Amino acid sequence: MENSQIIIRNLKKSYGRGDKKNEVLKGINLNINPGQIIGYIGPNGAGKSTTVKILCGILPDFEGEITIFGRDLKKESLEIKKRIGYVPETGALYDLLTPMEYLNFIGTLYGLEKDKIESRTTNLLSFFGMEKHADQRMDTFSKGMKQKILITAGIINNPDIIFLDEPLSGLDANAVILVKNLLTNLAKDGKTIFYCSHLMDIVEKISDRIILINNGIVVADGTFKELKTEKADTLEMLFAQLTDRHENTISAENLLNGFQEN
Amino acid sequence: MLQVALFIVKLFKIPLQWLGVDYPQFEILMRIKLTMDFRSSPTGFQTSSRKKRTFIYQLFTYSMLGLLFGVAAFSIGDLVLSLTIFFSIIMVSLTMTLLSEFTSVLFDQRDNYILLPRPVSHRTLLMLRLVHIQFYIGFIALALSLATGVLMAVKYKGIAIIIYFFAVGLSTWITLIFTTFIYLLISKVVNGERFKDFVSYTQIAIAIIIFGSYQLLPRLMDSHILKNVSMSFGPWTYFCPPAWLAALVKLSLFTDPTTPLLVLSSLAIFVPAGGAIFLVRFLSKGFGDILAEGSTESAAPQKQGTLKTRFANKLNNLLCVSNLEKAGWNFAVSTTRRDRKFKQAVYPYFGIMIVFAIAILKPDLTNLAVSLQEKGQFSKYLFIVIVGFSGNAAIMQLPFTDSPEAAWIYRALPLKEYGHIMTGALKAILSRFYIPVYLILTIPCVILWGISIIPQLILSGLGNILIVMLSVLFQKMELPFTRARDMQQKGTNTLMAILSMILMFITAGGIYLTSFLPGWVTFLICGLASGLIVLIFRYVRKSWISQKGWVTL
Repeated sequence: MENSQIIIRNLKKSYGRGDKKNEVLKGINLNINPGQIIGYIGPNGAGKSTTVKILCGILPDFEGEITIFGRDLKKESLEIKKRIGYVPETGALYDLLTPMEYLNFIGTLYGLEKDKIESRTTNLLSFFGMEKHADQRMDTFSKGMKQKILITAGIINNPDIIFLDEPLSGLDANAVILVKNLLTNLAKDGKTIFYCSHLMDIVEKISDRIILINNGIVVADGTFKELKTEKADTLEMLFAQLTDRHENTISAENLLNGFQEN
Repeated sequence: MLQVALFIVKLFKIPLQWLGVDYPQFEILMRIKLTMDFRSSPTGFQTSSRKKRTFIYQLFTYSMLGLLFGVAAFSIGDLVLSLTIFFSIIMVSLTMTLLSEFTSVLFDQRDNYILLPRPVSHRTLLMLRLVHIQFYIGFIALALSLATGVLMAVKYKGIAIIIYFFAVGLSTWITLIFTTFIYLLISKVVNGERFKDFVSYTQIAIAIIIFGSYQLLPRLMDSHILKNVSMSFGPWTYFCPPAWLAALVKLSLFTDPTTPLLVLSSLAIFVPAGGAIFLVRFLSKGFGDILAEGSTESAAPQKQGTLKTRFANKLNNLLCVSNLEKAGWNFAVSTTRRDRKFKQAVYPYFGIMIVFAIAILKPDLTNLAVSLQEKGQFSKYLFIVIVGFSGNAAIMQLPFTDSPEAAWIYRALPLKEYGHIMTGALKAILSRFYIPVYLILTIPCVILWGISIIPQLILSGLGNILIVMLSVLFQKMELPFTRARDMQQKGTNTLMAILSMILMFITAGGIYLTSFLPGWVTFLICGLASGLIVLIFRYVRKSWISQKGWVTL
């Protein structure tokens, strides 16, 4: 507990007001220690992205308490932001710029010196095989190429905690292997990795700890070994079991039968 | 140009840092924003030649307007009064531009995921947005004030001309600070979706009030009095920023530096500076909260209107000729109901056209009803046509959207008859915006001019539909919600407005002629116009036969 890098107490978040109010997070409590790879999973609309946006300071309005690096997120968000990295779910980058221009811009926002930005940018672009595209405008890039730039921008400041929201979206198999290795090595280096994904097999393989949320509350928290049961020996099955998928949805067979009848 | 802009920004490095702005961050943000503007936006200088021409055309239009304003203002004998009026016009024009074109820049939430997770303070972000906007409205203000500047240079020479342009710069800053202050004040009271709605309706109301004042106030004033009047520094001048700026310019002539002149000039300097400090130091957090709202996800689903929906469904079944046309109708209705920017583009037009129509009637405001009843035939038909035409603005907005990438759906659909989607959407917009305007218009027209006006009312309604359908044909309007809103060319809009104006006059003239004919002939013409409209709809349905667009039959 004392060692925790992130402490979340009774985190609640609602969108809208009155009869349009939608409570997305209903009281999340977590302690996250340095060097862990956290797989933060849950069905669509469970509140994963909202949690990450709150932790990164994108959504400043929330109920509850969050302490990161021993600092209160509501009061000292700027100091916290200097030591975290964020890879968004959406392809949010200024794609009229070149990767060099964009990464130089992001590095400057973190107050990095010019030569440091340059060396890190060169290294990271080479790591992803993007060095030959360094001076091309990104509006011509594929989704995967943009994702590589987003990941690069997310770690250019050498953060202590990295939040990743669906980081593997759009990446080819080789790039997925690269990112998996990168995340594992960053964790070995003492960085905390907090990432959301729907790719259960990857979450199962690389996470030290899996946190499953459903309807705004944590329904499972532990290593995969601790969580798996006799009936659910894969993360996918566990996910289905804990999120009541089998009760709430119609089977694919019934769905297709419905198509044929119409 | 980029280097010049950054050099100017650098001059303000110390005051910016004193305001709590992180200067290195501010400078790189400014550099990036302007670089991207020059690469993409219609207001950039190094973009495609067409976009460049549009911006130059806009500046030229503003310069011509400035010439008119300047000549009008300087026809008044007293310099302080003429400059007060001139700066009022500049500030009102800038407020309109800010409200209509730059509110989205101020509260741009598209780069939330890039900027908000980085250690950038609200103060830096707010100042960045303000200076970014100042850069563009500065050009507009310069264009508006250039002609008057020349007049000043010829008449007064020396330091007055420098102070004059300094005052112009201050006028843009005061306008920007004041508008932002109002927005942030509103955000303290209402937030989230309500704030966005509030901003939309405020924009609409202010646009109408300002346009109405432009049209109607001069009618209440006596031009003979203005020529010989001089301005006394009453208490109101201390609350009137244009008077401060006028006093500052007057002071630069070193003639009779009275206490009111000195006080007003001081206000011109200290209020913009104090306003910036107050805004950035105390209200920037509210600005950050508004930005963060853009990262929220949707609230609970909206309830469906029951009676309204049932009526719309019946109308849909009655007016649409195919299921595809019904789909186009539903698509247009659902999107236009929720798209705030669509409303912002369309709703002010209703008010503006009504004010414009009233201005055309030139009513005696002291005895409105009687003077309207006695109006000549032509002006009342022109009034009906112009008010009715306001319902058509919505159709011109139909192709524009903020998410043109979603138009892939048209290309993916295995359709041959895209025209049905187009006509469905057109019918939906006509029924949602145009028919209600006409129904409401009928009431005062019948009260004022009796039921004998009804055939001409119907004919003008049909005439307006014909005008808009002809515009759709000649423009080869693209499918609904397929073009980026940024691509809307303002220069082209002006040209279209002039053409529409000519068409409106011709239509009103035609309707005026029918007033000399027996009623049955007018109804016969109405029948023919209806037939023509049906044929045009049919043509549109058939012409849009492929995803490539219009095909001439």
